[in-house]
Amino acid sequence: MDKYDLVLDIVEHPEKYTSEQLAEIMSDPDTKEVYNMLCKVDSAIEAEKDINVDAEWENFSEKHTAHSRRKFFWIGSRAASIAGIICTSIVAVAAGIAFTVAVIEHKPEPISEKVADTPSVATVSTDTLTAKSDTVNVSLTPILFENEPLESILKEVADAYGVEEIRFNNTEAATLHLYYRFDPSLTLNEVVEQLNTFEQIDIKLNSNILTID
Amino acid sequence: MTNRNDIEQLFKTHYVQMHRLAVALLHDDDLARDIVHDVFASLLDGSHDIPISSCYLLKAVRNRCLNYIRDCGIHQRIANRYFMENEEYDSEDWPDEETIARIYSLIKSEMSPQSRRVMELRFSQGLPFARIAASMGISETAVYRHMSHALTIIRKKLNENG
Repeated sequence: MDKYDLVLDIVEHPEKYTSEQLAEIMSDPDTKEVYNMLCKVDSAIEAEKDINVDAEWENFSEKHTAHSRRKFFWIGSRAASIAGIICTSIVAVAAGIAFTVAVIEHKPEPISEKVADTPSVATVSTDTLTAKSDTVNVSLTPILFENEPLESILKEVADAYGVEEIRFNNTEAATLHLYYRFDPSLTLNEVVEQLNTFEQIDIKLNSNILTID
Repeated sequence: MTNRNDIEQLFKTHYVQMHRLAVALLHDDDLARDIVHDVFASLLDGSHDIPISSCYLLKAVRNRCLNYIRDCGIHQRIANRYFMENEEYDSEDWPDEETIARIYSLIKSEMSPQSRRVMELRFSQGLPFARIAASMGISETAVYRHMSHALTIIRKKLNENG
């Protein structure tokens, strides 16, 4: 096989060769030069494609509308938001449970944006997990969440207990930032109970679905 | 400070060039689009005090593409026609518009229509040789022959012109 055919063959069927074989083939400067040229020819041919920029913008714009509007709100009123954080920072000591938490309302969200921002029911699917509710299937080491949004805490919890779905009917609660020590040796009901001791949080567990109101 | 209208203007002014660069590096339309979109999304995310130039945007695309390529193993690199070492993109100063234009004009002027078709199907549409052979009604060996003939000519001509 000459060098051109060899280069074409490794590009067409790299799976036929081991990494070592490929490296050895490429260690020949001549073969490598042919290969690099093939890479460049590919680039040259592909560079001639037509692009519809307006359609691309529409596509981009649609994908990033909700996201960006929230961001701009945040940038536009940074001073107000910082003041908001200070005012709404609450340190709650949950009675009877030995952990201290700080609930920080991360950023105020205008009500009018909520509808556009997120669907009223945000679902997180954990379809890869098959474990039943209240069954711990991961390590029993406690996990410390430091200033994490409730949404990610619940994802972790849902993963640990094989919860099928998390429904956020209250998007504001989803963005609450918490300090929370999650102890997987507790039952799911106990964890939900702990989290419900936070004033702004109302979680219900119904047949393997967590609903946040 | 970038606002949405500024971004729209930047997008419409520079998208073609950015996408072209990403495709030249990655040889994959969808991946190229994702990377360019990602650059603009990052502009939406932050406040930028530095003026955003074409140079900045292209650099951002290039960096993201090279980061992607860096994570590819040898098989993936070869299957996607990426240089073996990331450093080669700098040492070969690739992609370079002049070479791209030269290769493209060679393909137009020096190739038989059949060779040109084979190259377009392989590189522009990403078809494997077997499918090219089937769609053109020729053998797979003939597809290899067209390709290697085309590469031989391009290499010879490029080297002639220094």
